[in-house]
Amino acid sequence: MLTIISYFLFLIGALTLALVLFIGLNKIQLI
Amino acid sequence: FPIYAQQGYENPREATGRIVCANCHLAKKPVDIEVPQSVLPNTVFEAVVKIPYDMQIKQVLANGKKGSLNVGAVLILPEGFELAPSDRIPPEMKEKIGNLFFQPYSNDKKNILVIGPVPGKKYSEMVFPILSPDPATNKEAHFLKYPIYVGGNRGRGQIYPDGSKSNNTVYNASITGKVSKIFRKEKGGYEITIDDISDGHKVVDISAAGPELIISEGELVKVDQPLTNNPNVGGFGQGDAEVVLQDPLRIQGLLLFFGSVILAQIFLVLKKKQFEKVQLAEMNF
Repeated sequence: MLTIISYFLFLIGALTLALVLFIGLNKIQLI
Repeated sequence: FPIYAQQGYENPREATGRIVCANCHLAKKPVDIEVPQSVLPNTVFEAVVKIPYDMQIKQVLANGKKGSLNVGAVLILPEGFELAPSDRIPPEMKEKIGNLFFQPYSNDKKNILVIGPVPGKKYSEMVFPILSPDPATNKEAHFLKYPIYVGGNRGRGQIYPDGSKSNNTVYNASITGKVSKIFRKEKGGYEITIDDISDGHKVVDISAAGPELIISEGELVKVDQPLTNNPNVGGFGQGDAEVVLQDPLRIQGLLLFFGSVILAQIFLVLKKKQFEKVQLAEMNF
């Protein structure tokens, strides 16, 4: 149970991080 | 009874992996164990032993009457693991354990726990509270995968440690011959007189109270032919499980590694995006 929960937490965390970086870096026109 | 094993064997698990309870509890029945996949050092965890059987059935008791079954179990833990002291068991786990009294197999084998006989209706599923060792303080323990062996029994045994039969088993004819007389004893049980056909000598086979006769007077029987039915409804089973003694540092390291992989992947994509921009700017038509 804990394994599945931590897997999804990691997945969601990684996707959120990617999204934030994309939007943020796009705004300051770095990418 | 576990005490028979404790008196007769220094180690209840033989070199072949067989648990010695099977010497007296002859029938084979299933048993199940559930343990966590991994445990941290110096932690209390539970091992659930299930001894399933049909609660409706009755077994033959020592006096020949019918009664409900008892269960018992032996749990062979790896070296260093032991029964959790009662002040470290959380209240929820205490509730699940109930009034079970676990006993170490012997003074120098504290990693082997025995229990029983206890009423099967209530304790068909037993919870063992176990304390894992700490490799930091206990030099014998290491962060490894360990096997746990379990033996579980329901019902009475068929043989006593001295080799004599209990009344919960089948009685056989000791010679080939003709059943000349069946005498029912006062306290139950039968004296069955068998005449040897070849030389005419008589042999009296005695069955204890409990098993029912399946032969009658005048019948011909062969040697080792069953004279009674088999009243045994219980049986013994054994199984095993694996538990990893896990170092918390390894888990933290793994998480850190996962995090670094995620970051590296994201930054590689970002770098590519950035380079695409440079390519766009340098394009000439």
